Amino acid sequence: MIYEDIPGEEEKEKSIQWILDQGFPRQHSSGKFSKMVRALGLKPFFGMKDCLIFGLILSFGTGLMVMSAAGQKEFWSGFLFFWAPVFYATVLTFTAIKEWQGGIRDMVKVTKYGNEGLLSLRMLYLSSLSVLLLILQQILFRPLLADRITLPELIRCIWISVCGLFFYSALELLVRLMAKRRAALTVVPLVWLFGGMVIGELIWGNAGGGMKTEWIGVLAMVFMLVYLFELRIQASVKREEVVYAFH
Amino acid sequence: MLSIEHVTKRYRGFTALSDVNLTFETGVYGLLAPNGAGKTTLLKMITTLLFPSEGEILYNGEEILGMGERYREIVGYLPQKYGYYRSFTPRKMLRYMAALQGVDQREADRRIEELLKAVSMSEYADTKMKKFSGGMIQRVGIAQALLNDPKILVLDEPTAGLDPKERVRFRNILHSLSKDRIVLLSTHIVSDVESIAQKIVMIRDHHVLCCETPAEILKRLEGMVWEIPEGSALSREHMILAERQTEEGPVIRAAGSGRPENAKIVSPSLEDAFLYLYREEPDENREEGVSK
Repeated sequence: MIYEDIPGEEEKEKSIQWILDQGFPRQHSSGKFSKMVRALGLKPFFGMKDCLIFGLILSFGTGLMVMSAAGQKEFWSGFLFFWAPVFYATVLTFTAIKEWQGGIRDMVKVTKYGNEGLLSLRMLYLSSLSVLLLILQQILFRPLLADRITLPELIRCIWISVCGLFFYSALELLVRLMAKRRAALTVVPLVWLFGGMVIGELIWGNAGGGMKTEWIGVLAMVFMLVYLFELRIQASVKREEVVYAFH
Repeated sequence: MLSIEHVTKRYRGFTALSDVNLTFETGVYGLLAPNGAGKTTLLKMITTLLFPSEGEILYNGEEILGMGERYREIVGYLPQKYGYYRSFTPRKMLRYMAALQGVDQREADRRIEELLKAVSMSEYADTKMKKFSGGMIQRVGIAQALLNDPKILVLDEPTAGLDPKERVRFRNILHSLSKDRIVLLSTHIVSDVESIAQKIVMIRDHHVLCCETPAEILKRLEGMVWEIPEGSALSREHMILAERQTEEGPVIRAAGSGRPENAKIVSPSLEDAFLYLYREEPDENREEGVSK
């Protein structure tokens, strides 16, 4: 009779895991992302109430001020592109500051979904919320314009603002992925503050003024797809903590 | 089993830890070292907050960075400074962290009740944390670290800022939690670990000095700790550890080889070992023959 060593618990578990891996291949990152959405629901907004309120006030406030002061269609188109990411950028920046001040980041980073997963979900929710907000604001601000805009012009304005939102957010996320988080939170908003209006005016004021609405919509979709692609990468990136004493 | 193999951590030319080799199995391990020795760096590498410059950390033979969320699912972490939202209650904070840990909501609610009871915070479950003392916040932090029933529990200076009563309470909680998991506890307070750690890791000059049981550490100082009356002769090789008042007057507790004059040999304590093993070089300016 041939006697074999009985496998230990560790060996048994490894064998079972191997069998499971063969039968159930690992999920693609989009599957993992949707699993995270189902698991977390609206919890990424926890602790953000004050930042959301501040973002809304800033977005509505600046929009109303400019609309009342300028009120001209041509100026408004150029301004829209620049102003669109205000809510998104404000909430992201202030949430990051709040988490850094509260010392929450380290603990979140060691959880199953981690900082990057949570941040990706937050960005997805915020960008969706921003799109809805932009549509609502366009409808609400319409009566304030000196020259009344027609429905087709309103739709065009919405596409221009969605373009601005996803151009900014894709750019910010690209900088975040390629450089340090701090650069994305500080440099990109500053660049946008001084350069965004110029870009907006160049594209939509003069050179882009004649672009058909459908093409503006396509451009917005392209920027949105780039942003969503970057989000998927962001959700699974492994990032080391920055030890400020040595940087 | 958690293995740390030839791990080195450098930051821009500064070496925080060099060639660390350690193995941890079920039980409590104390990381006992002065501030700045590298305890937090080591714990952060174990929790994947930092990446080793060289070497690797393995859990059951698998590299932890490659494991990703599978590893983070089994780690519970209490950082040196526990972060929280001041307007949150413990229940809300724990629900949030449980969700991030991937714990099912119903299971999370059950565990939260259990854990709040275990850390004596049930009464304050729905009170905003901005009203809490340091000890109360730390207890919520311990509950948070245990939400996912971790196999590896990492506590970085968990008793910092706690009063003696809170520290005793914490030790009792930890003692009950140490079964069936690896508990790594860093501290520079000897009493935190001397009664509960099965092994103590000491780090000096960015290297691991030892990873031994308290008894083995004390053996290093066997026959080297003395009590002498104040004013007695003491060579420069002896290090003064402490002073206490007795009925006969003040006595000095010192460590070193060679019996000083009028000295009485005493059993070393872990505090003595900590002070002696982390001593600085003998003070050449100290006058020989003066014990104070």
